[in-house]
Amino acid sequence: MRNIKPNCLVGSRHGVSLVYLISLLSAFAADANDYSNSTSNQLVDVPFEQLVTLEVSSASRYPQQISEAPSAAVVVTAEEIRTYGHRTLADVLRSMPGLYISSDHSWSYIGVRGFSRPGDYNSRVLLLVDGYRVNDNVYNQAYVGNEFLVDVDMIERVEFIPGPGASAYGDNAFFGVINVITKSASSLNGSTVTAEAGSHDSYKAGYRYGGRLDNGAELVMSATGYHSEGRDWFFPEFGATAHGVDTEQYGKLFAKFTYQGWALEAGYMKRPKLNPAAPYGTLFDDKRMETVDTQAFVNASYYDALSDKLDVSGNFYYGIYNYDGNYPYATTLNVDETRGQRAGGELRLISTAVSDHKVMGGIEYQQDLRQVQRNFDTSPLFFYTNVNTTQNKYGIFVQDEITLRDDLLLNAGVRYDHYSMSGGTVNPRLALIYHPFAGNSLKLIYGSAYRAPNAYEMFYGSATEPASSQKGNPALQEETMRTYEAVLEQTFKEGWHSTFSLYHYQVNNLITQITDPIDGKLVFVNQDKINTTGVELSVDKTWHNGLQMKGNVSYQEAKNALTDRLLVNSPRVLGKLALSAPLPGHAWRTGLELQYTGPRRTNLDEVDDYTLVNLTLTRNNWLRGLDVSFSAYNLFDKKYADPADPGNFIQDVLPQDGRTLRLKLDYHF
Amino acid sequence: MRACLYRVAKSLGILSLCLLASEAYGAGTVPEYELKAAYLYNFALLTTWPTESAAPMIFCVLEHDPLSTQLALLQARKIHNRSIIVKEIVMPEEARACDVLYLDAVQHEVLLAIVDIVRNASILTVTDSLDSARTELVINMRLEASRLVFDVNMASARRAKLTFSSKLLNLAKSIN
Repeated sequence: MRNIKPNCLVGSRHGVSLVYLISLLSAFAADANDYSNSTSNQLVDVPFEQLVTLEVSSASRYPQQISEAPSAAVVVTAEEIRTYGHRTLADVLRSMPGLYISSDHSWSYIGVRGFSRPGDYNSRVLLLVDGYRVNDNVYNQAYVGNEFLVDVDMIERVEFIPGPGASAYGDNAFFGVINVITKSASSLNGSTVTAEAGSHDSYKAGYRYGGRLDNGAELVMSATGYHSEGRDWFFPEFGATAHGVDTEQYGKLFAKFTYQGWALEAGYMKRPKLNPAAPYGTLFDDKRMETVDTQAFVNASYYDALSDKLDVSGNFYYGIYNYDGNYPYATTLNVDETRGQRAGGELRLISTAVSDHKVMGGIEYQQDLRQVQRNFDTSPLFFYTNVNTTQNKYGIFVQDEITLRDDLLLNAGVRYDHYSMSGGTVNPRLALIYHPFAGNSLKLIYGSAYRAPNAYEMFYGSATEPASSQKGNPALQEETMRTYEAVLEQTFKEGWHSTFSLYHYQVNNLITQITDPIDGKLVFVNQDKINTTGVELSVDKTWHNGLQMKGNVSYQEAKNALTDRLLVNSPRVLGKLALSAPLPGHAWRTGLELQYTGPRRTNLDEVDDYTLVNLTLTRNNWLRGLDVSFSAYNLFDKKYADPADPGNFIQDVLPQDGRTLRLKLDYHF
Repeated sequence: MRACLYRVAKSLGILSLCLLASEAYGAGTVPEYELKAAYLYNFALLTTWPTESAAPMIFCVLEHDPLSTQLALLQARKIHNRSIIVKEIVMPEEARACDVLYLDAVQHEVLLAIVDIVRNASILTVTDSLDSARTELVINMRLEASRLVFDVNMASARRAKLTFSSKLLNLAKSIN
């Protein structure tokens, strides 16, 4: 049995040497210049015509990728995360139009445009942190719950670009791209200590810091620890209650150093979680049932304007994803071990040299250094799966934004990706953007996307070992999608802003797990075909008195094209309303969220619709430097459940959390 | 856990030593916020408001704006014999009292309300973002080839009844 201990990496030899490296870099970065130590009061004595010739050391400037996206991007800011008391990236995503989250008590899964098959990983959404791909190289999963790489308090904003992004981002940019931008030194502006306490004996403590050196270099870092006992869960299928099998812990570290166009980031995250629902046919009410996710990364990125008309950006990264699953059975403990390691880089150029054209091009390469997948019984030691594979992939893309008329833009892009296992794929996108007048735009978008089969689908299991119930399928091809979408954005008087989209998605060759009739083994094949049609309407407004409103409804029908049945875990209707207002006196602010999820099919039946109400009260500077917030999630204690994966659970549905409370204190100094 | 905390504290200690050491080197190009504050001062110096006043000139930034520290240093100065006051605004209505208003690139919940309020007021609005909500503002600063350049929106300036000296217009990267 694995011993669970909160991990501590800060202060390890590596941690210290990283710190030395950073300081060394900042020292080297220095060069002699008369104005480098000047304050504003000294600079105003310099003639203005001379000031404009000086070279600036920029505070922090990431290439803004999102503006390039010709679809209705959604943004949630740090301020909103605070106001609405979002605890995880999953909470942030849950508040966005058309998205829904389900959980199997181990991981959180993102539903986009009616698609979230139980048993699938989050591999159809690309998750980026400051441009670094978080999706691992074995399951290609985007980790969004407590298992997300970065502490939620370190997020400056989250952008979601719905629709296929494959023409610019390649793999995993299938239903959408989530772009997380971390806080800069100036927004952290000093040290902050965070302490949280919540229901089910949940505690979180964290420290974060952001500071700027005289030479313009910036340093940001954070360390966070979390522990939750979780609660007892009763499952009618077992006729019993699982006691203390819901414990979750995590430790997260993050550091970012920026100087001029350079940024060096590193992060580490480890999360052990027990699972009370006894997945994979394990023993019920057994505290050994544990999943441990570990992620670590280093990403160096560079951004520069080579001239007025040519911008360059690029990055190099190294990433690790480890998974350790302990599955208790009556006769033995079974262990699932995954070791993923990858390194890669990307180079992008944006040119506006030709008038009326904004051309962007880029190349990307990733090498899988390790894709180890093992599954074995511990007593007696017996391997069901023991594979290590390595693959590589590269992509090349070009995109042109052509100004046809003052009010008409054409955005055309195409990307070619090549996989050492499954070969090449070409994905174009075409968008016509019409701006008849300010605050009004109509976008017509044709897009395509793909998802390459992941190492788990291709290699997990064994075709030759009779005791192994699953086998890989190295011949899998990518699944593909074509989409058609119209987006109308309109700003009305008094600051009302609305977005309306209508879309149709066709998914082909969906990778689906079946039982091979010949040997009875589970295997993934390219099989299903899905058609989805939907509409989304979002409205937001901010009033002068500080009242803010964001609301949206979406209706979608995601159907299996062969059976013409709605997909499992696919609500027809989603509705969200978020209101935030200052309370009289303007000291306290309330944030109220209402989130409606329509009925969803399960494998055997259907789960009822439900509405979650979350309420948060925040006060900045309650005492000098002390911010306080109090949240109630699922305020009315609504009982609801998510459809379960029939392959891994004997339950048809998995009940979710009732009302939980949280108190959060942030002390800034 | 105790050992863990100790190690964190130790590495933070080492880190702060390193920071001190590297600050001692302290050199490089012109720091961004210092320069931006100096630009704001020059913008105000080269702008004429529709009504003359001897009251202090009020420079506003949004609450928590990192520019405010550098801007506050300018309170020792005067512009055409008017003293300078720097104010951090929290509620949108407070924007009405500003002479110069700087809105940075950070998304802020009161931004739209402020833009609405200042639209027809005689306020020199300055930003450093091309975000659509800020397109109506009078001056936009941006980095170009590592230089801080600025554009002047004459339509917005006219609506705000502001006029500029030719020096400012000559130094602008573009006027539209």
